[in-house]
Amino acid sequence: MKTGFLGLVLHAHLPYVRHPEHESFFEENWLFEAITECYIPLIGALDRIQKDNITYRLTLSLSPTLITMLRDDLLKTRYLKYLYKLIELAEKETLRTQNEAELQKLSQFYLAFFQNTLDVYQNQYSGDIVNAFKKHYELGTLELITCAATHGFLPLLSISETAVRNQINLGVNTFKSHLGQAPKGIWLPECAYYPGVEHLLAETGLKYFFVDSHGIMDATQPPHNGVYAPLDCGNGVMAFGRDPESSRQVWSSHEGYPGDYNYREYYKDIGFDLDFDYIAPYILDGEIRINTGIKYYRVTGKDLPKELYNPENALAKAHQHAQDFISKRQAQIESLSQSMDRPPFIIAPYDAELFGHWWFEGPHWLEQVLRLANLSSNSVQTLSCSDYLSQQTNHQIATPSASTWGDQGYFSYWINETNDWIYPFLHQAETDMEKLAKDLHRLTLTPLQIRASNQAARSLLLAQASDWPFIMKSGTTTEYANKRITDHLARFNYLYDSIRKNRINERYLTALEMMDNIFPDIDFRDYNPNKYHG
Amino acid sequence: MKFSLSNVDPLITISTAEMLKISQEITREFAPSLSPAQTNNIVYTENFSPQEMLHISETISLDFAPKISNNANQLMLLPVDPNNIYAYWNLNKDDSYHMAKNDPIHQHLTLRIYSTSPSDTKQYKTADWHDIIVDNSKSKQYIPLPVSYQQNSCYASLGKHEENNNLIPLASSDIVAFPFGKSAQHDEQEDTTLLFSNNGFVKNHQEKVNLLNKSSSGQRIN
Repeated sequence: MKTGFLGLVLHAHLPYVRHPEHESFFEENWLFEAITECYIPLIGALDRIQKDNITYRLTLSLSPTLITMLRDDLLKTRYLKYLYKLIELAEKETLRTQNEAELQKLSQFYLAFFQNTLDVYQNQYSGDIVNAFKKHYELGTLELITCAATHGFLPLLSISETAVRNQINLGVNTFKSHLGQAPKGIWLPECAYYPGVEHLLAETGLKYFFVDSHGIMDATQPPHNGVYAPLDCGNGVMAFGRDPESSRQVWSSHEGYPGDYNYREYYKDIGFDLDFDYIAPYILDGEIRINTGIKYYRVTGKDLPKELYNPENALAKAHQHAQDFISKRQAQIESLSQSMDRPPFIIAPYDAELFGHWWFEGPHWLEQVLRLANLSSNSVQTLSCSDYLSQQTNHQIATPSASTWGDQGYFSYWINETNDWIYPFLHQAETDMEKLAKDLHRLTLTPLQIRASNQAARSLLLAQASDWPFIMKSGTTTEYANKRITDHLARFNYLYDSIRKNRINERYLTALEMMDNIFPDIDFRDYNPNKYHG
Repeated sequence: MKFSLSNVDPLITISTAEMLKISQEITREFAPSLSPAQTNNIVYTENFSPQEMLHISETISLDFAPKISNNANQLMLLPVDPNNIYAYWNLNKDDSYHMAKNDPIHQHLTLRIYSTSPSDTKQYKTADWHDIIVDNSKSKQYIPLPVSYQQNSCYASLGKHEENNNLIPLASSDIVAFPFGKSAQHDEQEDTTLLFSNNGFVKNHQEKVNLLNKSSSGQRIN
């Protein structure tokens, strides 16, 4: 008998990385790797579950930047080129390893994996990953939700309500235009909540969002049911809290499943291991070693020589971990049920890109969790938040505390000595954009002026992405993050100046529209704060 | 690579690189148009090579790099965590000139921070405030919040401190709410974010660990 619910939530997001001004661009690989290792394996899992008539609910947030990239013709073309190159490398590997039976078996495994990826991408879904997810959305098994337009870190943009409103509204509008209906929920970028944002969510018809555990535990009223029931923020918008235990089981570096010795080792890739001349055609510009996605070793153990990966053993382990996950949720539900006035709802959110890319067996684990939860022999039932809200009424009213799911739980990863320089520029650009929209209000504009104003809004939005300060803090591709934010701000400044001086260079404007071709239906007038306040 | 064309003689020779270029150009120029819901009704009549686009991008980035205009005095507060806020300010040229003239070495200013509740307005100056000396030349500072600030909100004025404890304000901020927190387990909380690196995007904590164990090629040593 089912006595409690499990809400599995995946947040799928990548920053807008599209560079038509270059013949090829390394950071676009972030998207290509995610398609190959995360999104297509996830679609494969959902298709198999559907075929087997398994009852399940899974929630997936698709960020507007990701949706746009997945449907972009240039990136689709480049992805196919990337995939063909991987297949070529895997084919070469089957020849190179012909005298090493175990290695050759693995190289054939990768060749089959990439060929299947091509088949799913090209033949089954005609290059439209969004449509593949939409199919399951329309079946009612997969709940798709939205995210803010460019994944802006809303608490630090909130000095302007208009900035946050546009991030949210464009997130909702992008979702509607690609998926044909309004989203019921939203994943706040970085799970970053600040009191008051719920009013902007309500304006767009959103019913719920997620916060980290301490967002609920430090709410204005002590939560009667801990993080296992949502809080009504006072305006009918619900905040669901993350369960720390189920999070730890997957994320923890010490006790998390992905560190199991049977799983594939992420950091041992042939891009680094093989002879340079051999691997050169498949690495960055033929010069810089990068991950190729072909990895022959398993985690093995700390300070031990790496042993060859065995896919069968790894999948068996993923199955075992799925059973463990479900049995722990059962125990949790049985314990919680005794002290709660309603069935407990365990929210387990993860970055979608964790599954398959970093944790190669993650999609298989997820599939097994959904299959096991379907069995009548356990007390766990997977559920979406909107299902839960249609079943449960009379929620406790309280306002969550400001919080994120990042390091330290608050905002310090996104504002610190490495990245704080961006905020005066972002805030000034926002102020300028709003002033421009106000000044142009009720003026008759030429089509060129409208295009330039809309493009200025796009540049501002792309500069606001939380990914750039995040990368600056992590210290990885900081040069790229710095360049992206300064380029977008420069593009904004250029357009602003052109509009003010009424000297718009159509050729330059067109080039910017081609480079930053996101949000085709944007209306710069939405940046006029008076539009909302009379 | 050679193709024998039925109606073309002699044989035409096309290198792989040329074919790729032609393929990419055709894809760029003649890619299927997006569905009506996704178009923005702009018909581009101009064509650009990647080099032209790059040139335009670089020209704009060079000529319009972000810079702060300092026409009006401005003070902004941003929340960081329950114990810290971040302040940045911008004083107009005249005020900055007087600052440098009066105190050329230190250029000290006073940031007076008022504890308040989000519903308060700045017209009511609360008695609960404290001063922090800041260096005007830096234009920013992280500010630890006193434990006594129970109301989760504050605002500030930046100015010159006088002997009678008065403050001559040059700029004032809006009210900022900072997180009220006691439950985030700072030491134990797992970092649950993925980061982007030259090794693709990986789990944040894991990457930090591995960055320490990598050779210059990026390969892990152990």
